[in-house]
Amino acid sequence: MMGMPSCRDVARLLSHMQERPVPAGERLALRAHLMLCTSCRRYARQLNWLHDTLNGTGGQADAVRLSDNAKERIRHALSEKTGS
Amino acid sequence: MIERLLFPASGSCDQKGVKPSFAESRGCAESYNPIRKYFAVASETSMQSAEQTREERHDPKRWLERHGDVLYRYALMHMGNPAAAEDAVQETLIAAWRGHDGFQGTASERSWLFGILRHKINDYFRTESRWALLDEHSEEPDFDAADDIEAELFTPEGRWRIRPGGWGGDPLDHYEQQQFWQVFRDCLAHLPQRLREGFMMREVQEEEVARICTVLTITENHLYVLLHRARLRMRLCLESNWFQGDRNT
Repeated sequence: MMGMPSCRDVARLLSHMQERPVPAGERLALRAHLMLCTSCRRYARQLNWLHDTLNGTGGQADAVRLSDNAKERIRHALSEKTGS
Repeated sequence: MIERLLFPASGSCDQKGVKPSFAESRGCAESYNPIRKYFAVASETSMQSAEQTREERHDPKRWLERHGDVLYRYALMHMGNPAAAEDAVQETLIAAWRGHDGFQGTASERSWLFGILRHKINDYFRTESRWALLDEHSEEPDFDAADDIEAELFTPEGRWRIRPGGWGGDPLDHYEQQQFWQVFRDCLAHLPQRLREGFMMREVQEEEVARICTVLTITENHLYVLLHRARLRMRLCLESNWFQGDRNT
């Protein structure tokens, strides 16, 4: 990637870096772009939100997981049906 | 290990009730400070040690503790209904216990449970006469078909055509969660099938890239492109159907 990355480049990078390491030069260019670009900053934040919500590491109190009540219900059903 | 930028989930730019454009004009761009965070992705295979006794391996309550949350998330995102998703998890664990002799340990325990869960989700849609997301014989165009989501979202010079809107703080803090998951489910349903499978395997099941490539029989570079497209589409769909209008008032 030569020079300043475009928004399209940045969106690609933000996705790819969730799967593989990105060279330091590209990371630097990415950060510089994000400092200046509201839209890409939003995109980055929303991707992170999506990621955290989907894998259950969301910072919110209601991270998506089985509630204690639901777990208890399921444990009870397992005892009845499997005798374990 | 994967590496990613971590942004403040609801930093000063995103306080409740603060109109994003207002907040941004007040210097949030300067205060923006990405923090690099490293974290380990739990590897499924590491969860399954050779020393486990047979009793441990055949214990549905232990499966619930270890895999219940991730099974639940997967079910919820496909079904859009928390109660139905809880039931699906329960039925999966019972079916797993009954059919445990069929588990040879060639697949990881979690992959094995996901296989059963997918059947349960399909059953749910069949009995509810609802359109299943997991239809294996979908007539959808192949994911290789020209996907113009980038051309749709960006100008030829690479600028946003449709600029991402401000979502405010964490959506799940403020909204009816059940309605949100129905919208989410519909957005997921609009992804081409294999895009959806790759996306869910990566984001929910947290499968490793190499394994997803094996399952989908594609190269790593191809998978990166697919995941990028899936993320662009999901973000756009959620914004259009959930966030639009609400966050900026």
